[in-house]
Amino acid sequence: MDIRRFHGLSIDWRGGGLVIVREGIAIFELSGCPCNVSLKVEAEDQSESEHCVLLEVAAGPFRWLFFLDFDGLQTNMREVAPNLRSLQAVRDWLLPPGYVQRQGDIGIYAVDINLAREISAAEGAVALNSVLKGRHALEVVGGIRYFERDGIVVVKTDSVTRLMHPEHAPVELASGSYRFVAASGVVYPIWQDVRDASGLPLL
Amino acid sequence: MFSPKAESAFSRLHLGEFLQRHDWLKFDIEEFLISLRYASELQRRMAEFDEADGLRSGEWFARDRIQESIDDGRIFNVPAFRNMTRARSLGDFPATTKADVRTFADRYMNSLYANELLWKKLTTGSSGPPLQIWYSSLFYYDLLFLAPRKILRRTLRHDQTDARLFCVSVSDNQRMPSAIFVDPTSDVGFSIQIVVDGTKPETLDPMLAIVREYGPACIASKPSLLEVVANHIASGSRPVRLGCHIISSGSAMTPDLRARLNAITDGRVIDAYALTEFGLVASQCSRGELHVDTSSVFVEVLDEAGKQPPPGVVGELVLSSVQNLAMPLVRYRTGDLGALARGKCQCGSMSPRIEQLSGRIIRCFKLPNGELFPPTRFNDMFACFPEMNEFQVTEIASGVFEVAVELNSGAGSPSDSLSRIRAHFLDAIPDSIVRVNSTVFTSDSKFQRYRSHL
Repeated sequence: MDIRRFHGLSIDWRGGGLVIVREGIAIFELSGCPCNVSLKVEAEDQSESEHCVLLEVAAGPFRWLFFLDFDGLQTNMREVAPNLRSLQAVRDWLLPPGYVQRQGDIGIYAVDINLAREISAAEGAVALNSVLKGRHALEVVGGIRYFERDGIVVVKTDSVTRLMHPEHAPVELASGSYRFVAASGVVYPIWQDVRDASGLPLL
Repeated sequence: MFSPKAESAFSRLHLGEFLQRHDWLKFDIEEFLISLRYASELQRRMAEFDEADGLRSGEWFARDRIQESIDDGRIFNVPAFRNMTRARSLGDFPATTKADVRTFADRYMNSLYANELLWKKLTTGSSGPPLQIWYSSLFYYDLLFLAPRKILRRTLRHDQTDARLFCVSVSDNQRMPSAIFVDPTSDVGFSIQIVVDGTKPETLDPMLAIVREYGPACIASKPSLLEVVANHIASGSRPVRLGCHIISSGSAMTPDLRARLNAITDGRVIDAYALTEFGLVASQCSRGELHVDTSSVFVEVLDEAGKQPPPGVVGELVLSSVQNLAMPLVRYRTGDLGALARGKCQCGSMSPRIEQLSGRIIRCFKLPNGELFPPTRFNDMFACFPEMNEFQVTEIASGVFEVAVELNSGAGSPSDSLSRIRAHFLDAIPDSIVRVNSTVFTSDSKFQRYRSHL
């Protein structure tokens, strides 16, 4: 199946290269490859407000599998494991089954805190932010405590808590203990971690 | 939490006590922890530098690395080189210009580094608007820790590993903090960078106090700031001689400045040639010859036709290196002129030497009150005025300046932009006369941003 457009993404493939463009910016590019590029697509319509496809790109021995989804507001492209074969397998790979709530690419799982050690609010906030990436924010009205076990941070709240995000509906959580998990895969375009080297001497 | 070697370094160097006494120095512990991953590789690169020095004439580690990168295809992960899959050697690659990198910076980034931690730095822009250069983590730490060691090793044939404080670098980049850096290899002491204001010599006093107390192996800075340092020491009430070596890098050091620096130190005054794009390229030996770091950079000299001139004839220095895996540049035209000399140097090294190097000379402006003003203070102009393509400052007379500015289409009101630029100058050099004019510059590799008619 051929695909050239997907909700604001243009997919330009001409045998010797591939460019995927969103809002005028190339977010994925293969060029000058000494082999053929072929596209395979598997698509399932979910609803009018959500449309997902899998885009497989093959260039010689290399394979990429992209999960494209349009949620009614924006189109997202995420690279997933190339051996996955169905949208359901991709969803299970992105976020393990069993979450009580989901907001965008964050899954929220109810967990118990047995055997977990309590950590300070400062440590917990930093650890949680490394998962939420500063885009999702936890709005806490009552008390909140943080626990850690095997490197996993668990949040325990004693009142209703909301997970906020500028582009998603808020998610309400009853009091309890939860683990937050960011979806697997690589989101395109890739925003790299960049540090400032302006202070280098001798240059 | 730290490796035993790092913990040993902290205690041996009494770093805790130093940090407590000088709490105005920033210590980026995250940066240090990241550097620990690269300790072994940094030691390997330092050993390769030593080994390269003893190679027979004509052998060049850096060129070998580039060839390996071509043979195994790694170089073709750089988008700009992706279509050159028929290239078999370095000579098959066309020259890369600063304009290429300025216009298509992303195409020179290695796509294998798409998900890696990168460091970014702008060139100083002394020969055209600044370029954005990206460093891999390993290359950043190579520049930070190995460059001063290589420079001292070249001149002295040893590291001065016993110095608790290894290097004090002096900067006038007000956007960076004064900071301490701890070498993850623990092979030398820690280093510090102190930010001063070149227009206020008294800001040098904390740096000089640390130098007197801790006796570092070396001080490093650019010529215009070293000129301010020399002036400040010479104008003091009592004579002072520093006990450390002085490394000058960033632009050409004049014989006059060398003489003035020799007058204030018992150590050596060492000139080094470095570029933001490549790091250390060459540095002086004990005989004053500028030897190329062949473990890191491959140097060609090309004439205007792109051909290699006869030995000893001056041409444009064209550099290649894959040491910076995030942004490897090959056949990069620097705009600097020089000649390559081969054969054994009187110092004993076989490394090729750069002769007749004609880079940019940036001298301090001399103000009517006798104070020196380092013009590199205005390197922030591109950041302050994005509507500006280029500028040139000419010292017409003491305290009289002419500023030529080329504006781009982003300048909503040219007269307003010129007024603000004039105000920026007067803010930096009060009581001066500044004329600001709009112009269009022609592309010229001999362009000099800061000039003086004095």
